[in-house]
Amino acid sequence: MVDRMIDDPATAATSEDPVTGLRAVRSLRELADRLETLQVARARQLGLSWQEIADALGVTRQAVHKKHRKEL
Amino acid sequence: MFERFTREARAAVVGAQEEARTRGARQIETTHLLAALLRSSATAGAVTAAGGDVQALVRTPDHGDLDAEALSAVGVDLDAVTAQAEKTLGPGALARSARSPKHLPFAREAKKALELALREAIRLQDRSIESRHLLLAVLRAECSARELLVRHGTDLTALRSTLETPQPRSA
Repeated sequence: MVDRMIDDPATAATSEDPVTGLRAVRSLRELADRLETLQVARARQLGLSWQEIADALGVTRQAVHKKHRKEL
Repeated sequence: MFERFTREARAAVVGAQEEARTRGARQIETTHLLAALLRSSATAGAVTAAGGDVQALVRTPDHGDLDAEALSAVGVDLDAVTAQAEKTLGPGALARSARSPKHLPFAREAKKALELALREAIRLQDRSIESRHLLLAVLRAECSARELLVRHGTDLTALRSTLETPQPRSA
C-alpha cells in the first residue's frame, strides 16, 4: 500500500484508502484537543465562568475544571 | 544500542527528538529523523545529488500528530485552520498547545529505521553506524520519510548508491 502511495502521491489524499481515513480521525481528535486547550484559556482570560465554558462545550462544570485548571 | 553510532549519527538522533518536539509531535517519526539528517551537509549533498529538493524537504510543514494530507481527504484545510487559529489565539498557537511529554518515544517506524541502520552498517562491513547508514535505513524501511523523499524528487536508487560508497570527509 505504501508503494501505491509512492507511485502516485496525488491520489493518496483523495483516495478511499482506509488508512488515510483513520489518520484523518486521529488528526481531527488532536486538532480538537489543541483547540479546546486554546479556546478554554482564551475564554477564561476574557472572563467567562467555568459554567459558561462547560455549557458551550456540552460537558459538566466539574469535568472542564478538572481538565483545564492546571493549564491556566 | 547507540554505542556504535558515530558522533554525527548520534547528533542526528538527538536532532530528530528536537525536530519532533518543535513540531509538537508525541513521537519521534522517521520524518523528524530525516529532517535532522538533512542538517548535515554530507547527507544533504547526497540527497541533492539524487535530485531531491532539500529546501522543500526541510520546509515541509509538519504539524506533528496533525496529518494535513489525511485532513484534506476529509475536507479540512489544516493551513486554513492554522491561519484562523493564529489570528485569534496568537502566532504558533496550534503548535504551542500540543501536549509534548518530556521524553518522546520513537514511533514504530523510526525504531525500525534505527535497527535497520545497524544492519546497513553490517552489510557494508563498516565498524560504526554513520549518518549515511541511518539514511540508507530510511530508504529501506517502508516509512513516511521515504515517501517524502520520493515526493520531493529524490531518485532513491541513485541516492542509495551514493550512500553505499563512503564519502570523502570534505563533502
